[in-house]
Amino acid sequence: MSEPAELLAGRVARGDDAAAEELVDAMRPLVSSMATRFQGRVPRSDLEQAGVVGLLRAAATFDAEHGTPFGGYAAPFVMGEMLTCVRQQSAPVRVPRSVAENERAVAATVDLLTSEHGRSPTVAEIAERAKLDEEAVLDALRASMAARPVSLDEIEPERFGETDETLEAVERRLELGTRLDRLDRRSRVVLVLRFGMELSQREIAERLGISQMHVSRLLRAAMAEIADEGEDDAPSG
Amino acid sequence: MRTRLSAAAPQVAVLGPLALVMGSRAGLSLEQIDDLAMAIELVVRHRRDERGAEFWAEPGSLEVFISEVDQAWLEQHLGMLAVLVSETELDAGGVRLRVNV
Repeated sequence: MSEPAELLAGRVARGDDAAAEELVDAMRPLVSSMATRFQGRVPRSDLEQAGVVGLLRAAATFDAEHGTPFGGYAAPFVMGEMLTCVRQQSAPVRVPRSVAENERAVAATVDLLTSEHGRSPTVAEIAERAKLDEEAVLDALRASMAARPVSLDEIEPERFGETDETLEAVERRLELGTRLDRLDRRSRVVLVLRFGMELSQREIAERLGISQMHVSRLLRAAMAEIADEGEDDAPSG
Repeated sequence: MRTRLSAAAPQVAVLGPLALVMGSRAGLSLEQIDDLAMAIELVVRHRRDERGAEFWAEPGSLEVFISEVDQAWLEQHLGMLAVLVSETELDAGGVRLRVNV
């Protein structure tokens, strides 16, 4: 029989890493159930990671002598971390003005160099053309990676020309089963263009009439959805 | 560069920027770095586990090893990973991803 959560929490507070793992396993149903409340707003795996942080914070201050069950004590901590996670990912990412200015300059330079060379540029090439040092380019790219994707609704529908038969054939080849069915059709098309037809981000960008960095964000969001669906299928051990 | 990440660590938020910096050192294109970051994200998002990550950069190539990855899941997703990186290899309970210029 496994050790009660209240005793595990006490061991966690004393720095016992093995107890922390046991506690996280024991409380996984609580974290998973609370994550369901925010599902669809941010990736489920991010919510569950935030929930685990909340659990461990709760364990650090839990006092079993008060007679409160650990689950009841920990729930507000878990909820608090999940709310923070939702707020951070739902709100526009706030970056210093200089980084925001560099982000715009880097995005424009990437488009320019891609058009000139017919390939994606290196960081050194971007830095040289934009007259920035490489660290500033990397900061701008990190900010860009963290930005939320722009809606696919902005793309003209006729640019998503694939038929349902084409989509289904490629989905079968990718062996992703029914997981893609849960994504909206346009997200499925972006994944199919990249992984089924093996078009590069640049080629997809040209086809959809958007920038390569925009394609990157769309792919990342769609893949996060798939990875999270996969997590549901995975054994929990 | 080698790092060990707990199950509770924000693994995507740590490894994505590392791939960016190491990819830049290796002279990879922005798209190659981005595809590698997506491959890493796909692997670590699959299941929340403690795991290690190692990066080796040299001019013209970058290799990343991620440990403690479910091999059955990896085999199912090798097709997607192969689109994102130049070489993919299952190795010692983890996966080795390599990108060549």
